[in-house]
Amino acid sequence: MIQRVTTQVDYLLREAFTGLRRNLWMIWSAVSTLAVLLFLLGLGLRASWQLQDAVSELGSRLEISIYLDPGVRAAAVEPDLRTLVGIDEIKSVSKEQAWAALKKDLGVRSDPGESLGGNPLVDSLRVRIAQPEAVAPLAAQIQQIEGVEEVSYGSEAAQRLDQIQQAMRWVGLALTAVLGVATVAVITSTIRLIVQSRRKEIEVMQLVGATPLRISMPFILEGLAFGVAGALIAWGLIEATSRVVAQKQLELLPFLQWQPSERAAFTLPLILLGVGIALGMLGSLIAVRRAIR
Amino acid sequence: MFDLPSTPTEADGTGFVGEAIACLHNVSKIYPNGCRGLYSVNLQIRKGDFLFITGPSGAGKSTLLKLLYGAEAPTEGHVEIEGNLFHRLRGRALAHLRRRIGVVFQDYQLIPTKTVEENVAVVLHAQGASRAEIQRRVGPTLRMVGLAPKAACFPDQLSGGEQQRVSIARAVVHTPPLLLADEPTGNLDAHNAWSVLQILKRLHDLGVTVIVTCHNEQLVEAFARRVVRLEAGILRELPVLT
Repeated sequence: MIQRVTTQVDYLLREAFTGLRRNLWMIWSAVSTLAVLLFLLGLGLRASWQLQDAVSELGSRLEISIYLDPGVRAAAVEPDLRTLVGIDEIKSVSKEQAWAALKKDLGVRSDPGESLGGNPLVDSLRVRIAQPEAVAPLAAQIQQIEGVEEVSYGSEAAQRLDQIQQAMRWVGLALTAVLGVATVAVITSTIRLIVQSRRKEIEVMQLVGATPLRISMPFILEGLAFGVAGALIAWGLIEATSRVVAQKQLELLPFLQWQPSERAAFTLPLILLGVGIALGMLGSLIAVRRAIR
Repeated sequence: MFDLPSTPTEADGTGFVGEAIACLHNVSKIYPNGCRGLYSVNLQIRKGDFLFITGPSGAGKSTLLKLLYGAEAPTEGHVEIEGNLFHRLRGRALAHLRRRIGVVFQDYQLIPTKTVEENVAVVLHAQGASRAEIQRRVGPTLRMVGLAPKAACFPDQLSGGEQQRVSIARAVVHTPPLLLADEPTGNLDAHNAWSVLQILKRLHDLGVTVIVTCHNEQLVEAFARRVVRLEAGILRELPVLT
């Protein structure tokens, strides 16, 4: 049994390798097309993930500032805030603290409050939110709490980034679908040419009793090899591009500190390999199925 | 190595008596362009037969053989090999039935990028034989057709007669009980043609049922076997030559 399996594997690998060696130029066209598709797909995914991380990062930095009615103390409102879900941290700033900070910022030594008729500020609270999408609903809820005069939050940037990310995801998917169809067509044509160049061999194989699976397996393995090669090339190109971009960003926009996503290191190569192998094998299957019909 | 069915021992007026290995029942073949290949052919070939199919070019000889190895389907009637109706078989079942048939093509159909040895081994590879089994079978088969010294040559380095012998080696290396040879002497000089027929006779003596198409009537007469004649797609049985 083991000997039979090794014989089959040995035969299939030898046939697939022979096919690949004999048709290098045709194969290059299929592999390069596949590599370009996977490169674009990989870049798109990487950019989308990076943006997603940036949104999360921005979201985690977001605060809601709550300004209370004059005379209402922060300690009175804080218990109400604690009942809300999605709040990470609450920091209260008394009007005295705010007044002192303002005076320090303005560099005023004398007490301007005397001319203003006392401290004109109100108690305020700063609330940190875990999820960016929770900011707007929480702000609305906080606004309803008695004693709250004004609520302000700066989630607009996060919302914009989120919208961009959503749009990128759809554009990326559409682009991948279109390029995927084109790639399958190119691979199908390439394998069909290879099948054509070995038509006589296939005919003889059919007439001497080779099963359809046995005839088609070497070609399907060739498609798989296209997928692996395309994924490796694309992965290399993406890594090189990312390094160049990171270098340029350090030179031109040093204040931006975007960390490369962990998903880019592990999940991306797996996705590229999976998509590459699937498209390569699908193209081969279509081509060879017609030939041995 | 040729562990084939035993040769029938009883003879009658038209050849051996025994179980049918191949049958054509009312078979007609009309090509899509309207060209008629065969017309209502009935033929029974028994195990151990050595049958010549003669007739002029275009009479339908190759069509008849193609029907027997399933490369063509009949327009009417049906073809039966070892009790299996060809038109009912697909995929694996068809592949397995074809393993019971060896085919020698008129134009040899050798793969130009493979050596003589590899061309013969193709059949065994196709049938999933192990490397050891392939080595065990290919050598003796090439010796039988006198081509062992040329095992490493490519087809274009061989003469027509040698290519035909490679084709025969490939057709019998897996020891099929039925051998079909389509004009195996068609492109050969008298000497090579005679040596090819001698190889076929040797295989027949080992128990293989052999069906040969041949338009050279002198060669057929000299061989003294069961003969059928095809003319314009119509089959006629001729008296057995003795």
